[in-house]
Amino acid sequence: MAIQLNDLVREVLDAPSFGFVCTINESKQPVMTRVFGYKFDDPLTILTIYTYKKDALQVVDQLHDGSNITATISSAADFKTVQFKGTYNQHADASNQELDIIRAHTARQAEILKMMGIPNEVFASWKYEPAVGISINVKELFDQTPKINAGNKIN
Amino acid sequence: MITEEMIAGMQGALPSALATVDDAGVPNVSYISQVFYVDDTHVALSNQFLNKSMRNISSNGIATVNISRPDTLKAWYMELKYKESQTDGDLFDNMKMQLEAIASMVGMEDVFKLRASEVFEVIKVKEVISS
Repeated sequence: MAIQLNDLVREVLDAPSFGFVCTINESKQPVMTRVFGYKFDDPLTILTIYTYKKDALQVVDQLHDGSNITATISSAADFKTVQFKGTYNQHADASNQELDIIRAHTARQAEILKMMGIPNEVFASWKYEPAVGISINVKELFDQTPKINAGNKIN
Repeated sequence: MITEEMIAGMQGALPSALATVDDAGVPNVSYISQVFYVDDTHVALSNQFLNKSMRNISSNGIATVNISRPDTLKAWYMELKYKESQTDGDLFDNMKMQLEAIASMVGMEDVFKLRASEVFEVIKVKEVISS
């Protein structure tokens, strides 16, 4: 079922946000990898998270029909954070068009980190190509912004 | 287990991601302010707003946390096993003091309040592949 995006979710997804996508391995240990960009439909049904393929293998290797996946995405500028929970849809190597999304997103991430005192040369040490897109059938959204009642369900 | 190189990623300069899992196998990922070095095989996590994460940890004792050095952005994943919660004592006081410094840096003094120091044993460390 499609989820209507509220202002918080739009703000977080429109920002040069950072995050992690996570599933569990055969020992039920959470495994995660860093988010370098994303695309989504509106109203939301599928969220595709772009990650660095080599680091994402520990996640991708665990994915199968019905796997639970969670992505938490946070705006570094104001700490607004949304958690997306759902199930595995598919994964695929990022296309050239998708690499453009990643490059635009990471350029904005670099600017935010620069404002936090982390030079662009240091950010460049985070590799993201080759990239893989992990698509999630999104079922639930949670407001994870730091506050007393953090974790309230949005949809 | 915890190397000197990793300790620079435990000063709270960059938030860490804490991943847990519930009994149905659904992961939960929250950002936390502190992964605090206790000794070479133990860390303590700052519990400010951890609700679902602590329910999951209380149920199965399993967590994975990410740390990153702010100077190089070199990063690690640590697989953790829950030991105990502390709400007073030296560890709690030291974490509270560091959290106040972090909150001051990011303008969150009214929001970042330490509820507990959650102590974990480090079971496994894996460097984040970045090249």
